[in-house]
Amino acid sequence: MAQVTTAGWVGRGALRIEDDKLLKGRGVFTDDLHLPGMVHLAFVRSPHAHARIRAIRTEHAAAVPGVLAVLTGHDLAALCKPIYVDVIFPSYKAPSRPVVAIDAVKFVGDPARNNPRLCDTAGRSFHIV
Amino acid sequence: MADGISIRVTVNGAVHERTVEPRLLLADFLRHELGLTGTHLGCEHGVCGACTVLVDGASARSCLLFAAQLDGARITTVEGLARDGEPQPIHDAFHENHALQCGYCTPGFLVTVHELLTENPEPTEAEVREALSGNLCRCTGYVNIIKAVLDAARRLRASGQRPVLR
Repeated sequence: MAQVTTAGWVGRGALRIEDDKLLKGRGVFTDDLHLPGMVHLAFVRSPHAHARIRAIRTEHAAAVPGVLAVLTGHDLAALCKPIYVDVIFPSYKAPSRPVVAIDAVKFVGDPARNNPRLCDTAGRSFHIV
Repeated sequence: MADGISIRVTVNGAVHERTVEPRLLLADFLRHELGLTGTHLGCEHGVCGACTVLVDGASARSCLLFAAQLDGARITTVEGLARDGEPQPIHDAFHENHALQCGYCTPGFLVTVHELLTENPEPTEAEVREALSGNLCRCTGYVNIIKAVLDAARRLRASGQRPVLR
């Protein structure tokens, strides 16, 4: 147990000021936010550790009432650059990857598609082969 | 709603009557229909315990129940554990023992601990560990949480209180 001192902060515990709201269920996390015009996004994730994507059929998902858009890896590649982990080891070669898989998935859970949704149905309406 | 099911539930002492889709999870009902966002979803398949609530006094995963199953049930969420918004001994013990950091898993822990200390006012450390085995915490770890639960049990015994439900 640290010795308690009466002067300064060394050796003294400090109680957190944020606990009260967190303990009463009044904390606000990202999923608790409601913003004007907000829509929802669902990802279709790979069930395979490593697999080639030969085709993705999005028509059924796009036809689900309430679906605003169905975006594939190709669509997102046009909007944002590939991502990589910025490591500073001198000899490390950072492999880059698309934000959403394009031709292949590389781990279980690798997002193969994302689609804004108003319900789960659309996310289950994909056919990826 | 064409396929709606009418339910009447008591949540934290307040009666709510709603018509719900058969597949609506209790967790989503609490968060989206009633705005009780203190109940958190970590895994959505019953592993992490973040969504734990009391259903007729017994802890349950709100991600594994459908709202439509709960007609007539009495449900308590983390919001219902604070009496008139005032912290209770379990809250105080978590605060003073640094038993939370990000606070995401905390509502599930508090509900689980509430049930434990209602049933067993003087648990051993082993019993506390067993009771908490269905709740995952990824930042604080369990040492301070276990200390907090034992401390909360002492505080409740010293004050002659039982954990309070609204």
